[in-house]
Amino acid sequence: MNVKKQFKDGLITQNPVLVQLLGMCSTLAITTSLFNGIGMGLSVIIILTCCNIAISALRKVIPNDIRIAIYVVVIAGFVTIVDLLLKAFIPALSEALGVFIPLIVVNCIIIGRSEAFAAKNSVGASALDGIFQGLGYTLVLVAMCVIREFLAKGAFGGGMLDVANGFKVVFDGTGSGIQIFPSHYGALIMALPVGGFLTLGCLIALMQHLLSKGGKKKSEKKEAAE
Amino acid sequence: MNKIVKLALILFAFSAVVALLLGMVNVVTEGRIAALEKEKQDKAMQEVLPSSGYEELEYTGGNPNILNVFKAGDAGYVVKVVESGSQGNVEMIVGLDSSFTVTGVSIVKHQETSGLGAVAASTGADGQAFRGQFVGLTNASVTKDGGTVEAITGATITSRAVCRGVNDAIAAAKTVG
Amino acid sequence: MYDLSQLKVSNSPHIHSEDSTRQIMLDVIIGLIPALLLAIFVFGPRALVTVCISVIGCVFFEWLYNRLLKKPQSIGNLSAVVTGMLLAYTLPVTAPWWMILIGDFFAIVFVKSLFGGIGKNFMNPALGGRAFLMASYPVLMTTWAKARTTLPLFGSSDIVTSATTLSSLKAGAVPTDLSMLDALLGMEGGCLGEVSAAALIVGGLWLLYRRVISLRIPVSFIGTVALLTLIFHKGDAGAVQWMVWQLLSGGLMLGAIFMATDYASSPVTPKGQIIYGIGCGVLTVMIRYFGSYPEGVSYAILIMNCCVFLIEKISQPVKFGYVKPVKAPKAEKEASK
Repeated sequence: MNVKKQFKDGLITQNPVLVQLLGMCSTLAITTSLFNGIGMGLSVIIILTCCNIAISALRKVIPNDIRIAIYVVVIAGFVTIVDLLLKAFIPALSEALGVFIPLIVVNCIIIGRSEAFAAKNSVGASALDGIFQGLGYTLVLVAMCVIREFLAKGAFGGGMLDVANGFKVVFDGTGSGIQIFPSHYGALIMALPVGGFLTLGCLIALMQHLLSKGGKKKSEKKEAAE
Repeated sequence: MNKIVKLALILFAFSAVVALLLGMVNVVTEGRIAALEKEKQDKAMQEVLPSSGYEELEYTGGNPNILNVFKAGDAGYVVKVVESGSQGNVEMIVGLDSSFTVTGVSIVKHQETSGLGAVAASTGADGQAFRGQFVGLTNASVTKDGGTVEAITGATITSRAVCRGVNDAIAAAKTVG
Repeated sequence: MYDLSQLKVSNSPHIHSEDSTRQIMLDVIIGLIPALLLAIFVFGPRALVTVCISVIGCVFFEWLYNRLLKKPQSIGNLSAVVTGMLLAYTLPVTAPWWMILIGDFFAIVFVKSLFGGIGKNFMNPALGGRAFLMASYPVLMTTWAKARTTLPLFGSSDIVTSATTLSSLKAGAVPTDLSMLDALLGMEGGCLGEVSAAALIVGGLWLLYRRVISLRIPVSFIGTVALLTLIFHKGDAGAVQWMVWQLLSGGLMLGAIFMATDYASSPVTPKGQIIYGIGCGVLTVMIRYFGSYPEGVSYAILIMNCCVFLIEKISQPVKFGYVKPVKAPKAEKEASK
């Protein structure tokens, strides 16, 4: 089990959003405040890890012919469980994310990792894969949330940081966030889906640029060593 | 044939286990979710029209958007109404005094875009300012349609839905009152 | 900039053209000056301030981008100046300075430079910048100062606002407080550079004389709008009057003469240019009639910009001497089987 490589794959070289281009829909739709981003990211980490563990543990039992159907049943089960738990215990988050929690069922990251990783690897490795891929997804969500929230409203940490009542972190979505510049200077377009596309496009371009740069360096090193 | 039966049984077994799990989770959360929704509705009703008790009236007006009509003692009426917004249904509670003037609006359930339409339901200053505009009106429409309600920036459709909800609520309260 | 060693030089005769990007852009700037003068007359010196901020912003961002990414410096070809002027022309004269700079940044960096700089952008940068501002600051972008009132050079206090001609056309009636001569000369509320149809036409004639643009795009664009508004006229003022008002108001002249004709984002084939112009015209009228915005020129051009590669594909000119292959008769085909 190569933990270090898995960690790097999930967060950078095989980042689910920026490199594999999976889970675009939710990425574009919900990344308008830090609260949404972290909430969605945590939900996906939990669901992805549970699904990976379950499918990896059952991989010898699942017949090849109906594996996709079984994956969907397992994923839908976990998603519904998380949805119900959120509704019961963190209603503010469940409201903010709305339909995107149930839509995790069709989020390609989950079924993609089930098929590509969990179905072929041990339970431990699959659990780690779930955590790291989920972290990679969360990282991108948070980055997009921070960028979009800043450009659209001039704020940071909306819903999560409560500055008005002393500096503290709240989990009910009522925090007002830190206002960095007056909100009427903010570009409304960044809160719209268009802004999501613009931000995601820039991030993907940046990622590809850095990856190709890193790749070049590595191959140069190799050559030098030889 | 044998293989198909076997596959079907396996799939059935998986589904049954998942269903069982879901059932268990549902038992734990069902009560809590219902209690939370009830609490939210009570709070919203207190917010739009404070009263010591609410008595549900039978609504026969035929408008399918009207969910419930309550009589809030002598203070007036509280109407729960649903309208289609830009992303899905917007469920709101409208308080009316005995002369059918709006005393308050509260959005209880919606799927509007976070940061735009969702402002209508937000607890922040922007959301309160938007909903506050309805107080004292007997007929609501956004400024674009010639009314007095300043629409939420970038969310005219949501703003229109709230206006429609208020108007439907007034019409419904008039039929029962 | 390009590796010329890859190019093969053919046999003589070689025809040399005096045209250069710089010369063409200079001609466009000259063509834009009459509209600027009229804007200064109508809205006061504030108009000049707005245009200057926009031009300086565009040139600065282009310089900065090239500098930071170590690209050859391209501000000398004056295209950034043209973008800056055109962007300012599509803004209300009261646009605050920071908003102009944001528009400049988006136009130059996102719409133009990221796609490879001049000649490689598929959208008109100025219109891209305007669309960004329109979606971001809808209130500031639709606050129109009344013509011939004194405006402060900066800031936004004491602005007497007025409705634009288009908003009254949107409601389905020709304006009553303006004469057609007012609209022709530009004594109306509206974007800085679009108010005076006459000044824009003068600039267009200069570009035609200098052969910077051809008649195809402007004529097919404006002609389509004229035809459609003539057939589907509204209100009780008469079809011809309705049509003339539609032609004189809003950004139609500015868009048709200076923006739709942008080299990089319009088709190169003659037939394609006509299809493109007609498309712009149809979309403009559709948005003006059925859209939620009163003006449709900028979005019409942007949408057609995105279709250019398709238009060029279907409008390739026939090679000289090319004969269409005759389809083999059916009977013969079957026989050969």
